[in-house]
Amino acid sequence: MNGHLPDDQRLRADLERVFGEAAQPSPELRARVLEHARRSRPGRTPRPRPRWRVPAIAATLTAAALLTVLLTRPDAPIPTSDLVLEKGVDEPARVMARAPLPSVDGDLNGDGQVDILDAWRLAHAPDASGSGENRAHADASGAIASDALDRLMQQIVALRGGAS
Amino acid sequence: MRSMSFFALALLLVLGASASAAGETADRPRVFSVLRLEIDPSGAELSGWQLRADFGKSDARIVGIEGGASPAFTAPPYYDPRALNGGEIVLAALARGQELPTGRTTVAVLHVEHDPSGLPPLEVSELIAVGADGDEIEAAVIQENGAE
Repeated sequence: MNGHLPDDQRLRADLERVFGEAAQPSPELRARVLEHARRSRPGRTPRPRPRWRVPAIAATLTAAALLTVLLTRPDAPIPTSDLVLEKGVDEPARVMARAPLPSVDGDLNGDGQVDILDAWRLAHAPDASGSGENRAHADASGAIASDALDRLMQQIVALRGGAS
Repeated sequence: MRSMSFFALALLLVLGASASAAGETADRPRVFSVLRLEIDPSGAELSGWQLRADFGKSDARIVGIEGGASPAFTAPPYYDPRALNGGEIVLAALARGQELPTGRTTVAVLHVEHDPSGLPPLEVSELIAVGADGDEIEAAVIQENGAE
């Protein structure tokens, strides 16, 4: 046709001259072919969702919400780590709740261990006032009144795997 | 559907195992004994003590702790409440008052739940006794049954 046209354009022009303008498939044909392709693809058959899935998810979410409410309410069970012993003279120790105190080192004698020897040193340390009064025997009932000593004793008896 | 069946089967197995365990616990006969812990400071004044112990492989567990007989140790010793679930326990106490014991004295009374075959000995892995001057002293712990 035209001598300056590239080869592919010349080929296209020749083909159009022979077959006419290329026929486009109708939308209906396209839809049928697509549907057939979807059906014939292996392993792609859509699986219906199990009916128990929605109730199970709903139950899980409900349980989680209930747990959250139970654990955050004011009278929720107190974690064991916040439990301390209330000391009585004539009765067994009772478990009482107490706000956590700041952590203390406790190794007063520097032997690398926190034990009853450190508690003894703390109990017999002079008062901050300098009176030299025995802190362990400070009150008339003989009860150990010092909060620091109480906490140190709890630290000593705490089981491995967490402070009590 | 297969997943649902598997879930139901697993749930039944868990429930069955729990019921079985509960039944075994309920059927297993248990008895309670009192175990007195005594410390002999060998003539020195006992100003405090600390003890770490357990019942070894026995399933015995401490269910209650009281103070001792000596005026200095009538208050219950300190302990971690989690120890009442079984396993290891650490007990510790400082003497109260000015009168310190120098001889064999009961420092704590333990209430123990165990099987009817007998009260197993408490295996003491650590004992620290404190003298009147705050230093560690030689001492021995003695149990009510005489085991040492």
